[in-house]
Amino acid sequence: MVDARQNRRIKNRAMMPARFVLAASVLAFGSMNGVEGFLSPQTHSNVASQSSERLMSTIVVHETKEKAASTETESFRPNPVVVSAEAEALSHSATTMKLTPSFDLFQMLPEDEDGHIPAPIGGNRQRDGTVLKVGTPDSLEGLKLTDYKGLGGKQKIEKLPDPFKMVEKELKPFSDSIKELVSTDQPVLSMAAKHFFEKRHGKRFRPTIVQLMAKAVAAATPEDGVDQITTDHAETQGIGGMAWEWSGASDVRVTPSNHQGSDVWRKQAQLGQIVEMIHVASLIHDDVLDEADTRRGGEAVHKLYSNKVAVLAGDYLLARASVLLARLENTAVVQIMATALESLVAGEIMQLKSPPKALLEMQSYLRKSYYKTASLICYACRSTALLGGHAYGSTVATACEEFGFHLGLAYQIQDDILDFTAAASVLGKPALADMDLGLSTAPILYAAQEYPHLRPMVMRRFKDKGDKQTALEALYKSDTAMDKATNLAKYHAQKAVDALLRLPQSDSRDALIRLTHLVITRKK
Amino acid sequence: NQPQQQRQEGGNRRTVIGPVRRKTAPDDIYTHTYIYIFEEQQASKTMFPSAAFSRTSAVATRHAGRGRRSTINVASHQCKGRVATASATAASATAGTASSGVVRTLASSPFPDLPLPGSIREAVKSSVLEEASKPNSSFWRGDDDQQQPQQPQQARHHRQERNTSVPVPPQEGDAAHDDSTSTSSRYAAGRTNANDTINGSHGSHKATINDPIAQDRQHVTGSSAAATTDANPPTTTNLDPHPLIHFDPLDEWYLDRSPTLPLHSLPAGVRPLADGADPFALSKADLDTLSASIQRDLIGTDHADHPVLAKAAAHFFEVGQDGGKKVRPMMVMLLSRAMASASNSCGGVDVVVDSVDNDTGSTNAANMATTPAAISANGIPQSQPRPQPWQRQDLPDAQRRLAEISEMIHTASLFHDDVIDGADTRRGAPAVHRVFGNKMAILAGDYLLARASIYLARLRDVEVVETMSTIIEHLVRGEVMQSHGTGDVYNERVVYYLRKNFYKTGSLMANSCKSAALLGGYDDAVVNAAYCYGKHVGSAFQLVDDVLDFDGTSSTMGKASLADLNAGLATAPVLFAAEHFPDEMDRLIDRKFGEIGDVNRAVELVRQSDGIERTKDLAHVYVELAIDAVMELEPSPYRDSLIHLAYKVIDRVR
Repeated sequence: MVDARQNRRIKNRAMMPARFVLAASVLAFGSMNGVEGFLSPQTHSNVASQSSERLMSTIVVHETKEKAASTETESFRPNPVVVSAEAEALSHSATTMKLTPSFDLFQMLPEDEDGHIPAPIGGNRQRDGTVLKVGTPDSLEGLKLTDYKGLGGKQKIEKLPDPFKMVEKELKPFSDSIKELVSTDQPVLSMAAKHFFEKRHGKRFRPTIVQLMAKAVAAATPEDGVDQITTDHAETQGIGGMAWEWSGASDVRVTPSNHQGSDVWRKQAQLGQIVEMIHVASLIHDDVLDEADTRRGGEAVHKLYSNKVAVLAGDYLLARASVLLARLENTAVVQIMATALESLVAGEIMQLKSPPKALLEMQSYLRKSYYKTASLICYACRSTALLGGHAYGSTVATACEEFGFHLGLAYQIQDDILDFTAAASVLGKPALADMDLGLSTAPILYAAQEYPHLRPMVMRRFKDKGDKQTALEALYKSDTAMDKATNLAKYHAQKAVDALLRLPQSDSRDALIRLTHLVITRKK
Repeated sequence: NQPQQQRQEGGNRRTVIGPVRRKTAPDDIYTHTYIYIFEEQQASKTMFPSAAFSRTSAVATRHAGRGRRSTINVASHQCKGRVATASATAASATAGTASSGVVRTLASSPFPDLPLPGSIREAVKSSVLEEASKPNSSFWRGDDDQQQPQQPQQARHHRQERNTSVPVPPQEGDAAHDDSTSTSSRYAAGRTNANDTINGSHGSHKATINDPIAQDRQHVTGSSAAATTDANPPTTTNLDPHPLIHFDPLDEWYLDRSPTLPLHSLPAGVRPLADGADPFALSKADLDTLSASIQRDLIGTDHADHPVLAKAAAHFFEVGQDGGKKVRPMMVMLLSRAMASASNSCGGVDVVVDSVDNDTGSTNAANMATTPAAISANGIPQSQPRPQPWQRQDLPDAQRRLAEISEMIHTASLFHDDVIDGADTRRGAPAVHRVFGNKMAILAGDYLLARASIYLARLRDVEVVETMSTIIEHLVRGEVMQSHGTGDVYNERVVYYLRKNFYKTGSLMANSCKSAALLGGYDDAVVNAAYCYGKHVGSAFQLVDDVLDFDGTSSTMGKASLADLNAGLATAPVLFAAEHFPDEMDRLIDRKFGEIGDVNRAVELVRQSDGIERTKDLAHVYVELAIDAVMELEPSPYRDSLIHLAYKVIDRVR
């Protein structure tokens, strides 16, 4: 028994280094100097941190140069995470991941709104749409969402498989087991937590995505990545950047045929649960913060059980989620999901504490949406790929994150549009809730571009009497604001589909396309 | 794998028996003894015999072996008849090899004069004792342990293995059995085996663990033991010698109390505070680095974007002259170094103190033999010990990061607690939510937790991630336990309270310490020792906090005096006072001191009873347990400083 436990511990520990041995040897090939800290452990504390600092600073310099060259609108760059750059750099050794926020990896605004494709860095380098589909025909090649009904086209989206039906059976035990997971010996706490899982009318959107994504990535063969390391790293990234980029994958190989019911499948399903728990925890805390009266139809937890329990229940779910996360036995996934957790807080902070000028910026609105909504989805998608045996920097994992990023943004923008168009009873939360909180979302921002007199109101968060009324009138008067917002949602949905199309065709991939369609055509 | 299955089948439901207060001696040497027994429905079958009881006997034995707890010795002399029987049986059981030293060890256990009272026996009988009294009961069988018959020669086996370094399967079952049936005539033999079980389990970890008691005993019995030879040393098995770590850690089994306990009698071989074992001096360099790093990483200097959040975080790390009591990081850092010294010394490289046996006044020969290196003048080794080849090479950095994480989790919990409690001040400074508002307090807490998770993930050790994540869960549980419910009857209340204390305070320390050991890749015995140290110090810490709530004034405590009472919480002094004044105090507790004058009346009752004394004693017992745990590590200034740190916990006045 001792042996088994110790073996396991040793194995866990050995697993990561083993992955990095390869990377280390490649590094040694590139430059002996750079690997010093990596290979000579005795002096780790000094040399490694120095060298990694040097590494990171070169990367940072590189990145900033890139940005300065590509755009001049970077002057406003909110960093909602209160960690100094040096600290961030120091805490990354050559073997830990350097996670870049997805909005620095993928395009956030269309070109006609000053958007641009970010420079290739770790995490978005592999975006070739052909490598994964060699020899496998794709009947949906070049699919445009606008060809489908509801978005201006004639084709029927129903030809694609129904995403919810597809995983309904697999998620069925899940609804029970998540309740089991949160059950504690403290009835009040579990009541508060269960409250959300039982009473919510949500469609378990996130677990569905994870489940479908898990099936979709099983259809792709994991890439090797070694070629890319030797050819790419010198020119673009400098030393060390690649060490982690081709790591992080769980050491498994699954195919669509043996995926169902496998260990990988189980872990991916668990990831879906974790994502839902994190999401619910953030909702619970948000409720306390926003003091929203209702959320998803049911009454908000904190109204039912007092603030105290709401804070605790949220903490409890987060703690459970971290414990379960550790049990996935993939440290890269732990790190990615922990970052997702931090992103949620970061988004909340941005929402509370943005400087007035930032409230007018489309970019900062999208960043906030990314932190609050998209980050969880896109990190979950990339983690699913990692659990499925794909390395962090692989084409598959990159496509997954890009899909999650754009889907999440599309989802949030659509949500914000519905905030103005749908009645309270349909959406499940009070209409104009965002405005009441002083937040300006896409439609208002576009209206403010058209009517400059809205700008001061946005900047003072609609605090003065009559601000809201004026803003609403301007919005309804404008012909373009709502359309522009809708187009932005469509743009992101299309980008999400583009990312999906880089994966080899499978039923679940096609279901995800239909899900994307659903996200921007939904009426509630 | 029967016990494993039992463990899994066993539900979470506990029934609690105790505490039972008894007069065991006519004079007032032993005024009373508390017994807290947890009976866990099914799981107890494995948990309490094999783990709890043998552990308890280990504690008792080691205390006696070190010549501490003089009261125990005195008490045991009161039942001379039994001692005589015991010594006779012991002598025969060990085939004449046991000298008087062994007998003294035996007799000085607190259990000879503590037969289980009839009521308890009846209550527990059905589920545990009945089964436990069968020597061949399945309880005693380890997972893959072929049941070995009780061998009188076992003592010699172990002693010999100490010389030949052959690992030995511990026989926990026998020890446990004999503890629980203390009146049995086989008592003495069982006791002997219990002692040897301890030695046996240490023998199997000989490479990394020092066992002063065993050496002590070897010193006493050395000549005769060495003279005896045995041709059949048992073969190695994989029985886990520390199964406690698998269970819910609420194992407040036996807590004995002797008011005349000599304060701070250091175990043999531990250097005094002034002689290079000052925890503050030893950890100063590490903690300075840590403060700088927290300052840099979390607070930063120029965070114009979110000054409020930065301020909220800084608020806590900077309040007070010493930035609050950073006892958690200090503990983690000292423990990390203590363990490193241990692992180094077995390779024969690094600093180790030679230990002098205070009890006998002679130098411990065994220690001298295995620890060739001496240390620098004032006993403070300056250089950080290098990780061993089998350890991760960034171990010192990782452990320092872990210390930071533990402080971050602690601070985050304080942020949220302040919102929950609605407290106005904390550590003498205004609470965060009073300064920045509820929203920022919640967010700052969430932010710290998220940051901690990320740092944790970057340690790249999933077991550590899981261990540390459990802390947060425990903190929440503790908080809920505190606000909802107290336990029903009065004897359940104390146990409920102790359990809550573990969740709220002990878990953070215990699991941080455990994680430090896990990071180092030490074996389970060390991990268990680290865990137990943190856990018991945490319990003591909280109990002292409760006492200070009564004793301290606002100015020294930094926390409003009687804050707990005012919040309607019944802490240990109150619960103990309720044993004296059950009717009146129960009423007060039930209405949570809500009516006018209730608080004052409660204070009066506590002062009239011995509630505060008993709480202090309980804290003292916890500290002793913590010291027992840490004594399992190789001697080093760092280990000794941990002992002094534990004493500081109960000595503190604020």
